[in-house]
Amino acid sequence: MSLLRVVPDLPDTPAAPAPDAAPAVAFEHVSKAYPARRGHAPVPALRDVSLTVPQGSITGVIGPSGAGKSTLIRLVNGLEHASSGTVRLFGRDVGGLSESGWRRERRSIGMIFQHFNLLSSRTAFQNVALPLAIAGEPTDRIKARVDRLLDLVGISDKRDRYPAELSGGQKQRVGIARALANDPRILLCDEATSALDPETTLSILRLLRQVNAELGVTILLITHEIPVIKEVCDQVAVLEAGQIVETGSVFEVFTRPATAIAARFAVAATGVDLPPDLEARRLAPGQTGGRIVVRITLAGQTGVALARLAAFGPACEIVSARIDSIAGRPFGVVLALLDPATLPLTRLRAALPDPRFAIEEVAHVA
Amino acid sequence: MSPELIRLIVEATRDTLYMVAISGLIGAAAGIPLGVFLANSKRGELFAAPWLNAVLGVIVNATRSTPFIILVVAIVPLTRAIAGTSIGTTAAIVPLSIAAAPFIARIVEGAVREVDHGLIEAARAMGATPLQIVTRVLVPEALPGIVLGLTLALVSLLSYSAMVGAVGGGGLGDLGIRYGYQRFMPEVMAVVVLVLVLLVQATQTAGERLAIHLNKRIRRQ
Repeated sequence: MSLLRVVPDLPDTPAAPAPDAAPAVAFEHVSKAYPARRGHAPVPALRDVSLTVPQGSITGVIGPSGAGKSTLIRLVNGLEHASSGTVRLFGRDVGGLSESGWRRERRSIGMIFQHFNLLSSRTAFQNVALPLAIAGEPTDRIKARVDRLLDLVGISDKRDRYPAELSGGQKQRVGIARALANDPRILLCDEATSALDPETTLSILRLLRQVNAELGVTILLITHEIPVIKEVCDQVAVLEAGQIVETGSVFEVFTRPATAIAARFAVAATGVDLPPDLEARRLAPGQTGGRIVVRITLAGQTGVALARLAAFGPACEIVSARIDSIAGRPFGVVLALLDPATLPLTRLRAALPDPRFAIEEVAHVA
Repeated sequence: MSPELIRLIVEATRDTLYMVAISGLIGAAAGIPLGVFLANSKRGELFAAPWLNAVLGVIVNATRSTPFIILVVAIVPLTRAIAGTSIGTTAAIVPLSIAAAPFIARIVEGAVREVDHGLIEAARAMGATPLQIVTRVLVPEALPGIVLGLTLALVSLLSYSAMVGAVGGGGLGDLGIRYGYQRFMPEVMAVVVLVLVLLVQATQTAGERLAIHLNKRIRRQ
């Protein structure tokens, strides 16, 4: 189903941002500390954060809870204000906006929430109508627009149901329709799928991608869930203790993590770590002999690589492997146990010369 | 019971309903906005005014902790200034309203504080003004609780209205004191009590039904 057919008052094709277009959101050296209170020191939430969210992108920020993700996303719609540094929306510094200026600004920024935040006293239709009523739209326009939005998110049949009568996924669809009501240029997603089961999460993420692709809405999402990043994001930033420690394309960050925390997320994303029995047989650093555990990272050409590994037979024993698609590209991690007497590392490297195959020694085991 | 007595009882019931209805309306008109303000004016809240919040809180508590019968007597000059007299049903409306407003305010405050903070944040994210947040989010979401609170307030007013009978306020309480007690007519006292019990039952049932009807958080098929 095309979104464009059901939302006729939107342009036929989303205006592709010019290459030199200002990013939808730009954080420049932003810090945020919550003021001191009764004997407590000020609490730093964000420290010197710089991040750009290109127009039309789906950008994810991942980090453990308490890393400052919620604060970061709330700087975009002025629910929080930076202590220092600059936040730009489409090139414009929003630092000096007054509260009434922010109210106007917020009408072009949609937001969805972990716990949906729907009004229990209003039906699905009335919830989606709320931002339009707040903006003072005439009733007939509200009705037409809300019906189209409910159709867009696929819950027209729940139009007159109250939130208590809807499932979690249906509530978030109402939330998305509500966030899109004022035709925003940016959609902020605050842990939008964290309260949903994995299957519903996927359906909501697919809807977000559809909204991004067909309406051209830039999406900034925060999450602590790796599948969310893997499924929808173009680029990812890793936030830890208020600082961005890594940023880049999802494929790069998850396949070649540069920091410990990104590596933790990458292990969770790729699902390959040293199995416990091998960990127990691990030799102390410096000790050699025995067999070698190697990690072979395959960025593409996974089939070719596996066939060559299999050809070595018992000299190269695969103990753990996972082939997956990250950001739409094939990616594999193989842990193999080598007997250096019959298969030296150099021969293995020679068999896999492609630079997309990385081979590294992980451990020596008895 | 003589037709004369029946006429007295009907009149007294009418007077009681009149006093309770008018003072309930005035109490709600003052108490609901006051309650909404109290619920949103602490530090960091929508209408942050911590000092005013504290001052109003003290006034509300002081009014609520004064025994009603003392309040009636204490504000006689005010009653006389507003109603022109301190005796009769209309005069009784003044102390009843003054007692009802802070009571209702505290109940409304509690109901509004129960509203999920996430809804306020969602409304702010939509670009709602503080007034829009109150009228379109907080009050509608708190409505079932507010209705239950108003029911409680009306029931209290019924008993307060019987008390103003003791100081010449008219209504069922006045009838019970003058005929049932001072003229030793226990049957009048019994009827007065019966009518009051029925009024309380009717008010409570109606209020609960309305609150359930308004509460959309309950899943119904």
